[in-house]
Amino acid sequence: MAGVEYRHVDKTYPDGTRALSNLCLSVGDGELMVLVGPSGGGKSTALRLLAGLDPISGGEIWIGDECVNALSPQRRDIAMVFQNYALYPHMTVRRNLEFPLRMMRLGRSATAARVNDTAALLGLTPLLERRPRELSGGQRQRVAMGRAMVRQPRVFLMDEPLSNLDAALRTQIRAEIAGLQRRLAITTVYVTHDQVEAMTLGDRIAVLNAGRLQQVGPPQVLYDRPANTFVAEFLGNPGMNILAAGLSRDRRSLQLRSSGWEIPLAELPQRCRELAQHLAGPFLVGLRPEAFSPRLGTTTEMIVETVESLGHERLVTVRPAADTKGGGQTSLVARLRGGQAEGAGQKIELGLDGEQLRFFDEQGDLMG
Amino acid sequence: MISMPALLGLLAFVVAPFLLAVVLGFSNLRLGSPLPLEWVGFEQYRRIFADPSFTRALFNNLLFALVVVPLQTALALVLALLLNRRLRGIALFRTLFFMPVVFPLSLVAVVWILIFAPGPNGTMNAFLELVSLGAWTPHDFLRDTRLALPAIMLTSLWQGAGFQMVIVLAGLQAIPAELYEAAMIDGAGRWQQFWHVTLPQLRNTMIFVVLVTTILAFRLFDQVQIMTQGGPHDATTTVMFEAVEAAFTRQQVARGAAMSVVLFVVVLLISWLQRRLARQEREVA
Ligand SMILES: Nc1ncnc2c1ncn2[C@@H]1O[C@H](COP(=O)(O)OP(=O)(O)OP(=O)(O)O)[C@@H](O)[C@H]1O
Ligand SMILES: [Mg+2]
Repeated sequence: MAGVEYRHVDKTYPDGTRALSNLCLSVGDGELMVLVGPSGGGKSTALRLLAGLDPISGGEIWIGDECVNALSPQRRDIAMVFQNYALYPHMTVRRNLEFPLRMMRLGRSATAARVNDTAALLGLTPLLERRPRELSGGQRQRVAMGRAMVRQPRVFLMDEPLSNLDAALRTQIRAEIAGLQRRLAITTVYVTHDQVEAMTLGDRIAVLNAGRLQQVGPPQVLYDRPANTFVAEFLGNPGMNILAAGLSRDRRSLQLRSSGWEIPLAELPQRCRELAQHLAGPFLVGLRPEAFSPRLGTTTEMIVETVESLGHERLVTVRPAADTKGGGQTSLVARLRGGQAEGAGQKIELGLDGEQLRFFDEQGDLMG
Repeated sequence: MISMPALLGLLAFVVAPFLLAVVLGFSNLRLGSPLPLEWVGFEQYRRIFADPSFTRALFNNLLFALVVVPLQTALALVLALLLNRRLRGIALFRTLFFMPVVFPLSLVAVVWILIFAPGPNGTMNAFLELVSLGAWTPHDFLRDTRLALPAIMLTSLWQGAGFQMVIVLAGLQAIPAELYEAAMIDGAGRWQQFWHVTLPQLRNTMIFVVLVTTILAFRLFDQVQIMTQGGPHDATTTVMFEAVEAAFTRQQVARGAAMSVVLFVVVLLISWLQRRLARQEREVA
């Protein structure tokens, strides 16, 4: 049992690609930390450095109270689930599960006992004598999990372990992983580019973009108070609407630029009002799609562009009626309840919940 | 329908000559002989198996295969492992080791005749004298009944290992890097990775290499023809050499044909045996 700590970690690949810059992140003992971010963000790199598969360029990585920079993967006492599972194709499921234990030189009866327990836990018992190629994708995934679990390592690493599965299986196994991790209480670093997976799975989420850590925190905190516009737009499906904004000349109302929206400050909650009073120049406002509602405070006329109906709710892309140029840049996505569909081109009145306004400075960092 | 041309080719160039050899093997055909052509049944086969030169040839081929196949395969594997790295200039080394393969065998044989030259100035004699700190007395390798066959084995090893090295190298590079990473994380050291990942993953490649080397070992001819002419006292004769001698030097076409049929059957038998062993192992492992 041990936590993990990245201390000012840098990684530059031999070809000069800078994959990680000054990563500082600590994962508590028994915690499930999800690394999430767009493709090429450096998630796999962070994991491979922790596993010892690639050398670190700067900084230190600690597992428990030990700096592991100089330790080979064999001596880090970690286990990893690979995206393509990397099962040994020439070995049966049983042999695959036994492998890490054989490398530890665990006794024969202890090995068999652990393998049988793990197989039972994951429902692999009937498959023990099969080869990986005789298994379905979901079963392979389980074997990969099993091979990581039998060892009872200090840390679990998982690199997009569900990305090769279909949606239904993914949801099911996601829940199983969460349950197992909680039961075993083994520190886990879980990489995904799927923000739904991140939101549902993580005790905490770390968002990586272009090799830099953007924000770390519990899923709800990241969703409610994203540290910058990148996190705001990345989390949530769809992400936050970001609009340029400014105060009216008389400082009595908030103007959302190029959306034609003007909201009297008096209508906004106290915190928003105070924050807005301090803003002299232009700034950015973020709005979750669920902040919109047909009848709420000051409404503005919007033209419907597209509607995606999901049955219980619909995602409506709208453009302010005042914005005659259109052009799509000022499109906003609103999440509205119910299934009745507006037609494209139809005009609707939308208001918004001032409680859910977020303010970002011109660089995109959260204010207040 | 589409396979017709291939079938025709197979018929014309493989099946027909083989059938011809089988047919001729039952005759007494001898070019320039005054005797009339007769069908003699298995007489030719009885005769060649009674011929000590031929049985010696079979034995030599077998011995050659038993020594060269494992050695050459192991050598190819070691070379491939050494050359399977990302180092600067590695391509140069790969090319160097592959070079003997593109040399014509006759040239290789001539070069090795020089290396095995008798007297203390011969390269091999000088080398052995050096490494044995003077204990080695010069031998005439190619005219020594005990050393001639090993000398030919060495030549063949040198010539053939490069080709197999390239095949094994291709096999090595087809192994997914992820398997090694998984093994490392599972705690496997270098030797265990080799044992549990590399070797099993190379299985099919190695089966192929062993099969091809075995077949080549039974077709051994060029080196013998150029370096020793089968001598001394049949110490290096081979089935191919005997067959060619019979058919072309002594013009005993029927006898040569019978010998090549025997060779064909032996090679077929060994290939079949190896394939069976390989398949069994696949089921068990
Ligand atoms: N072996 C390598 N050599 C050079 N550059 C690399 C190497 N591996 C990754 N990179 C680069 O490092 C950056 C981060 O890559 P990484 O694989 O960590 O991203 P990721 O967040 O895992 O992305 P994905 O979601 O697509 O898996 C990318 O720009 C990538 O091109
Ligand atoms: Mg990745």
